Amino acid sequence: MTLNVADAQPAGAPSAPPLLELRGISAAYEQVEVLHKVDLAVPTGKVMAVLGPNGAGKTTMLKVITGLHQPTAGDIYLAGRCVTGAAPVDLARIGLCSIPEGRGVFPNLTVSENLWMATYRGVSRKEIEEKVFPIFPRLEQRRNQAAGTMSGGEQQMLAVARAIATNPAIILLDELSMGLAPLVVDQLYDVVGKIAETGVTVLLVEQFARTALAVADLAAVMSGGRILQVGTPDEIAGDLHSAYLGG
Amino acid sequence: MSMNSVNADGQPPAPAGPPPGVPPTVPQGVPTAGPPAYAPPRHAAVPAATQDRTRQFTADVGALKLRAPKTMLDTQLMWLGVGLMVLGIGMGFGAYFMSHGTTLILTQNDAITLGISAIPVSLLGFALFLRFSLSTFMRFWLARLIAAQQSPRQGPADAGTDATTVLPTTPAQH
Repeated sequence: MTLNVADAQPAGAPSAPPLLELRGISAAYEQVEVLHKVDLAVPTGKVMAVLGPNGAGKTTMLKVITGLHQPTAGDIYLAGRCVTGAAPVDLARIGLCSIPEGRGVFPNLTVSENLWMATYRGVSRKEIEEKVFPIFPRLEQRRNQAAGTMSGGEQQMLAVARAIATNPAIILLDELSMGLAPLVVDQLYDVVGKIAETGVTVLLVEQFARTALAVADLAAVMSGGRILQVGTPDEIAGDLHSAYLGG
Repeated sequence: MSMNSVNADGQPPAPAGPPPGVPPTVPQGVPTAGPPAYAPPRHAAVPAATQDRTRQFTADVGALKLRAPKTMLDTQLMWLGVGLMVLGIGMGFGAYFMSHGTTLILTQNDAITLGISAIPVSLLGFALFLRFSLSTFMRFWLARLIAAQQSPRQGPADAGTDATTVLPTTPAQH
């Protein structure tokens, strides 16, 4: 069963198209279909958390959204326009920013050089550093250190910082907390909350449900390549056990 | 509305029926919880700058030129380019051995023609290969180059952090 997030919208909400919408998306790795007609809509300026166990298809869904993996069926809409088949570089250039699982920093480059990668959006190096370092003072202390020599949490901070530097319209976050200490995870989610307060649309994929629900406006539960439930964080939190374990 | 408000007679206002949300079975005068307090959405207020960013994003999406997905023809043209490059090199070598394998002037003239023809064949193959294989990479590289040139010049404070001065040395450079 697939549900639409419109079910979770309050009555009388403006009918502007969602900034990001998936309609009937199916995707496969060779002959194995891993996404089965996924419908999902992320309204403008909202944080949506997609929760689910390993192998649910969450990361594949993000790859499809970013254009890194072509869907076998269905369409992707950005701001009401179908962009299925668009090149990843084009989507990144207009402001669809993805922080992949495993951080995706350049380990041999310094912190500053990693951040300068965001200059492809036409932002100067100085602007990037002025924007990012107040949020992540630790990165400023380590600006000349090779990214690969930093801790996992610092690398994740760098990945988030690089995303912020691009002035994105949509951020896709894949397993932000993977392999990190709870304290670091809390710090990172504080930053995500601050990003959300600026109105950036965030699609968050996470296994640690409680942490993600704390910053989310909407949440969806995914399992077996299907969206099982969409609702407010409170609704989802109440049904987490049945969503994960069945029943 | 304050709970201590009074009417013109100095008396508390008479209740005009149950307030919204209170079941009608509750007798009048019995304290009730009243309407639920307003709970604002977590990220209700969207800053104006963000609305501008969203508008810009919508405009960018509208202007996005969607290319047709990579077809079989693209792949065939890429391999044709590879083939022409190899053919051009082969023609050059063939012309060399052809001219050195004979003393006939006419045959050597043919070899010269063949050798010269190899150049445009190789160039055509290179162009096809570039267009249908490396174009995406080259475009991205060019875009970054342009963005770097357009960015304001770094101040003296940043001069020490130039990429050439902070790049870590790698084993390949030793």
